[in-house]
Amino acid sequence: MNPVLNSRIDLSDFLASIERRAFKQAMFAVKNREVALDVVQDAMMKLSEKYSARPANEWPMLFQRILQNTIRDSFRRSNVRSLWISLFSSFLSDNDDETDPLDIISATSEHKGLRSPQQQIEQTQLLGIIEAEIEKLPARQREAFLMRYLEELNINETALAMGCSEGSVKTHCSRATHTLAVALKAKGIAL
Amino acid sequence: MNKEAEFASKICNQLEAGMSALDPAVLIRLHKARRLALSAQTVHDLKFVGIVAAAEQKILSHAKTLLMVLALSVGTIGTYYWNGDEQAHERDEIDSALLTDELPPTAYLDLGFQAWLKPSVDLSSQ
Repeated sequence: MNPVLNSRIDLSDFLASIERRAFKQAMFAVKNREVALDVVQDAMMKLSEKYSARPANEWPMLFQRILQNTIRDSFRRSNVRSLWISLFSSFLSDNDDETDPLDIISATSEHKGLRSPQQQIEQTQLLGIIEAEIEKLPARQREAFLMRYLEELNINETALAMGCSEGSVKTHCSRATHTLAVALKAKGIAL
Repeated sequence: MNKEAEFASKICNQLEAGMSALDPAVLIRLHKARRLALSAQTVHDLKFVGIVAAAEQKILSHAKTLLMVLALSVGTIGTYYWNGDEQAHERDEIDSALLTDELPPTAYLDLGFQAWLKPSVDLSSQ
């Protein structure tokens, strides 16, 4: 088969396998759905344009590095933007951030047909609490935790993606896990 | 699996479960992002393949000219070195004839010296 086509199929499979997790990671960092989607799209484009010729086993680490850099770029852009927005804040309404919790429940209910409504609500609430606690983690701890345990990169790959030592990765992961455990326990949640 | 990894794994299982129920609008947008990324890869690869093909065609169409230029260059350089060797050899012969001769130094100022030297060099070489 044509190597270009082969590589395209591989890349498509890879992107399909990581897109949801990448979106979640971006959401934890930027806390805005549209910005998170833009970040994921930018990261995918960069991987595709610049690194698609690299061996496929390097893609997860490269994608993570690109994703984290894109998130940081997004923060820089939003800082500049917020400077201008603050000048005109009196003209903006505060209603944009309002979301209806029922939207979330209706979305999840489609995929959990076997569970009772009570269980579905509990599950959604649990997920909400976990996500909120992950959002509260310091950025580097969150990055390390998600790369190691959600993306399942090994310590070396995580260190390469984060641009730090393997020892730092272990420390970040350990602290993140400890913080999450304490926070969930304080809320009476046992996993 | 140690306690830390086990706990982290449980948290990630919850996150994964949440991801399977993402808003369809988000999934559509992610699909679109993936398609855009793949089209960017295709354009990039095709560009590269196109450049290689064009370069190959140009090189082949000018192959004859390139070969001729190459042969001419090799010939010119060869001739230059061969002439250089010949001249050096001649000078060596003249120098050795001068050094082995018993003539006084004033003889070298003689205008007919070159005329005398040539036959003597010929004789010594025989």
